[in-house]
Parts: sequence; C-alpha cells; structure tokens
Amino acid sequence: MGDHELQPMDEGQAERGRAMIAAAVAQTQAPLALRERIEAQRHAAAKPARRRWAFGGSLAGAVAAVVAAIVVATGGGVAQPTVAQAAQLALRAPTAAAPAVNQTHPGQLKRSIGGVTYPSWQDQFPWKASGVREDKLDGHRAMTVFYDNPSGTRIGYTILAGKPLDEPSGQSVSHGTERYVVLQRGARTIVTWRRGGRTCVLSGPKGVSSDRLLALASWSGSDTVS
Amino acid sequence: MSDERLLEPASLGDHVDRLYRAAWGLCGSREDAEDLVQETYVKVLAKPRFLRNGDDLGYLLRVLRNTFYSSHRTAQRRPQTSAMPEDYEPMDPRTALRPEEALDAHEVFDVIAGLAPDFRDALVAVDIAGLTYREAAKLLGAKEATITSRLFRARGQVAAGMDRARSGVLEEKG
Repeated sequence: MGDHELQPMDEGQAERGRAMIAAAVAQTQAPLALRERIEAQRHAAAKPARRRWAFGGSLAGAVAAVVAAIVVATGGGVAQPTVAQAAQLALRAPTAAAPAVNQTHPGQLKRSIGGVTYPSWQDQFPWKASGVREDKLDGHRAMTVFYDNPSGTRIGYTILAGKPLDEPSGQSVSHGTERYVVLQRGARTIVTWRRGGRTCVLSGPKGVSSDRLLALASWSGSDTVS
Repeated sequence: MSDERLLEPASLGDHVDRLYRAAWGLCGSREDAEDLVQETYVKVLAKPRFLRNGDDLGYLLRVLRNTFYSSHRTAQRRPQTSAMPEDYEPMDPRTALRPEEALDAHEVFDVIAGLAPDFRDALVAVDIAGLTYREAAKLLGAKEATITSRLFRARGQVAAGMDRARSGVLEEKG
C-alpha cells in the first residue's frame, strides 16, 4: 500500500501509538550480558592492531614469539596470568547464585578463596552481590563475585588463589597498609591489590570511576576480616 | 575529503541501548535482537571505518539494518531449531521488577516487528533509534515527507495493534 495523506481523524490514534512506543523505549535497555560481550569484542578487536603496530608485521611477531619461547624454555620463568587477564573473568557470566551475606559478620559474604573473604557492601554502598563463578587461569584457581547496582551496572571482584601475580605498572594509591594499582584496559577500569598474600582484582565498565572502585576495594567494614 | 574521520571504537558502546531497541523492533524477539546487535558490532569492529560526517548512530543503524535484511531473513528461511539455553537469561532484572511494564514493552515491540517493512523501518529509525526525520530519510533513501507520512501511519497501526492484542488478552481471560 502506498503512503497516504495524513488523516486528521487518525491523529489521536497516532499520538497514542507514539506514547506507547515512547514508554516501551524508556523501559528497555540492552541486557548487561550483551554490553559485556560487546566490550569484550571491542577489547579483542583492539589487541591485534596493537600487536601489529608493536612488532611491525607478522614476521617480527613470529620472531618475538620464538624469543619468548626460548626465554621460557631456558628458565626465564613460568608463564603466569596477568591482572588484565584476571579482570577479563569479570566479563563472563556468573555460573552460580550470589553467596549469602554472613549474618554474624554483615560486612562479609559467605564465600572466600585462599583465606580471603569477599565483602558484602550492600549496607554501605548500592552494590549487591549478584552471582559467582570459578575459573582456572593458567593453573591459578580464580573466583569472581559479581556485584550489581540498582541501575544494572555490574562489577566483578576476582581473587586468585596461590602465589600472587606480578604487580602491573599503573597509577598506584596507598590506603592503610595496602597499595592499589589502577589500570585502564579498553573501556574497563581495573583496581588490583594484594590481600592475605593473594591477588585481588576489581573491575568495572566505563561508568564506574576508579575512585568508586578504590572506595569499594579499600572498604574495611568493622566486620570485615581480611 | 577532509571531512572524513575514523569511527572511534571507544565511543561505540554509547549506542548499544538504541541499537538493541532498534534490533528488537526489527526482529520482534529479544534473543534475535541481541544476536543482531552483536553481529553488527562484529562487522563494524572487523576493520577501521571512516565516516564522512559525525553521524555514528546513523552509520551503526545502517549496518544493523543491512545485517538484518541480509542474514536474519535468510536464517528465517532455514528450518527452525530450539536454541540451547546455555546463555539463557531468565529476565532483565530492570524489567523484572515491573512485570506489567515488561509485558507491555514486549507487546509493543512485537507489534512494531509485524508492521509492513516501510512503516516499521521509519518508526524504528525515528521513534526507537532517535534519528531526526532528515537522518531517517537519508538512511532509508526516502523523502522527509514520506518518512513523516509513514511514521504517522505506523504509530496509528501500533496503537491499533496494541488494542487488538489487549482485547485478545481480555477475551482469553474472560
């Protein structure tokens, strides 16, 4: 059917339709999982470009890979994951429900790894535990607890069991006895620190500032035992 | 020309909501909309993109629409199979708090997806993605007056479609 002249008698109906569409649009946002997949894609898409730029081509890249292999084979060190890789775990989906809050110590969740207990921030900050997942990262057991705020933004708190990872270079901030390093990887902001001899990594999307992550990372509620 | 500039990947995340809504309006299904948006980003991120003006959203919407027409229609001709619930998300927590509203949004997007393509495309471009009439006209290769007319009729059809859907619900309940 072709396009028609506007009919005055239809204006009320068109206006009702417009309002219905506006209401549907206002209440619809992209699911968090989709946003995170897209962030991961953007991050992955940026990587090869940097690699090509750094090595100047595939031949140089291959040479660098051989050199790296020789370094490892001759005792240059056992490969261990990086903090940025650990932070990537927070882009994956939770595989289990959120750990319960410890009723005896409301500043803690009933979940720990390597002797480090996850905090419960919900009484102090608008971030509530929403799920958990466990992974292996180059032999390191890693657990990530996800926290969501009321607008649906999600951050991930990953703790790696075993020997702590090398501290990355980045802006560092000291708070009490702990030293926090702030990194930016793609659209993700990452804060990492050591607690109880373990590497802790807290990461969030662009809308969550490094100050907010630092406040959460360094929070030591009266009930929190590190 | 000197107006040409590189599409900055860092800014692409700002348009996810609009693209998702537009995709839902085209597909009529949340799951297909997610796939369509992701496919769109995969294409856009595959290589550097140069734009001749500042319209990132218009460009993304063009890729989304082309992807929809080229791949999703082809897919619909294939035998339908049930998706494995590997990444199943029970419900968006933001809408889960308001089930009545979530139902309405779902119905509205269903009705939009069922419109004739010309009407649906105009409505998706203007009312859902937020393009101006001029931008929509450029995207859809039509005159602004045509967009105005299609939009008007599409809105009326959405209202009528919602009325029908609701009366159907009432009849079922009755």
